[in-house]
Amino acid sequence: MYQSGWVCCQIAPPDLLARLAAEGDAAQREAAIQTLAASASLRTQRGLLGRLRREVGVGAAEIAGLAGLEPSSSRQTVYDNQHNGRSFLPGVRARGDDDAPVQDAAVNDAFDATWATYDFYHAIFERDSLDAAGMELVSTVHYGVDFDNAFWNGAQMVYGDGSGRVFQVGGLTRSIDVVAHELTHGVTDFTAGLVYSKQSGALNEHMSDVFGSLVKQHSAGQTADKADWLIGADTLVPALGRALRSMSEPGTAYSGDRQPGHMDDYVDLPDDNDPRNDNGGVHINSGIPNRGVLPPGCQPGRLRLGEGGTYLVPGADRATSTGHGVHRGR
Amino acid sequence: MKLVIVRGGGIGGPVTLTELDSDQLSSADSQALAEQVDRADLGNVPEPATRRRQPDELLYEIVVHNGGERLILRFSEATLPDEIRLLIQWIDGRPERSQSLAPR
Repeated sequence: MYQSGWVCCQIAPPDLLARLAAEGDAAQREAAIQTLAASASLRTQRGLLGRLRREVGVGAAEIAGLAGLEPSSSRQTVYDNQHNGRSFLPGVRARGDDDAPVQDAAVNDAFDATWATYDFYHAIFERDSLDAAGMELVSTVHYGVDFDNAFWNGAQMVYGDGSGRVFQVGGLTRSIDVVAHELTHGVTDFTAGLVYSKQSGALNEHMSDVFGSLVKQHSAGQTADKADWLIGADTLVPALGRALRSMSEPGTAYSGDRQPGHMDDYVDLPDDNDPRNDNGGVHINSGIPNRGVLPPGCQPGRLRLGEGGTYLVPGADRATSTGHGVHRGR
Repeated sequence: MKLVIVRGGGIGGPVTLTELDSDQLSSADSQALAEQVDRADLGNVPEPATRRRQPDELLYEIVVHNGGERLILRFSEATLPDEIRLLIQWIDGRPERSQSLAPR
């Protein structure tokens, strides 16, 4: 099942269109861009426009102009996948910028946490959305059936309900740090572009955990010393564990957690599409830089990351900060 | 016939193992499982196209033990065929299935 409104390439999924726009020959590129521009769901593809700008230098205005469309001015929109899965993304529009809260708690939770993440990046780093150019933030809830995951698909956030066997039902959208974690993958896509494999992938995951936790702290008005430094606390069913990861105590979050906290204990896994090997251990070895965020004697209100720069956190004096911004890695 | 589904990657957390053995099913349900497997056409799944990874997407391994033969298939969330997704959902809904944490 595909959304109506695409005037050509009607069975082509957005991801394929983006690849054609980036990697196709001249005719394919033009056709793909024309298709994206003419789509009645252009607003929902705005995340793809950011990728196109970065990968092929085509701007949103140019794309919208090809079809005489006005670029979207929406900050965020939440959609309901109605359990239909990948071919029905983003889904049915559920809540937008100026809409009041709805009956659906997952919609409201995703909406609120997305706003909190946007506000954090804007207030602290003066960054206007993931692409620093006001990109619309698109979220889909109720993805799939009892789907035990949340992810960034390159263009939008996607949240399952959880099965109640691994993740608590509604737990993923209730977790502000999970939402901020996913959105930060988008920021990384537009900035450092850390390859999602082995060490660079672990740094990619680390960045999402750091900013996931910072958004949670900022939202709660916490300083670093008051934070729990847990990612995804209370998202797993209690029998499995307290959280997905502990940044302060890697390896203690859930039953079977094998995160190391030091490079001496780096887990060298192959990147071989085996689900056990996690793209070469990206969620496992992120424990190493995560632990480095919190050395002994960390000053309240300020973080230091290993030998790198400092991150600005709420409570710090911006005038005396030694700097802020997105960490850059290979 | 026995099917084993391993799910990992994702946003992190435990790697899970879901197993369903047709020997545990009634004859009618065993037949329904066989029909689901046929519909998924597991033996003729095309090689997924090379694509950009999606951070935190789930990774799947499906192992089918049938007679003395074993078939192993691996997918990401983006490449999982819809027919196989439906098979997985059917298995997840069976009370006879077992679920555990996958050994590393």
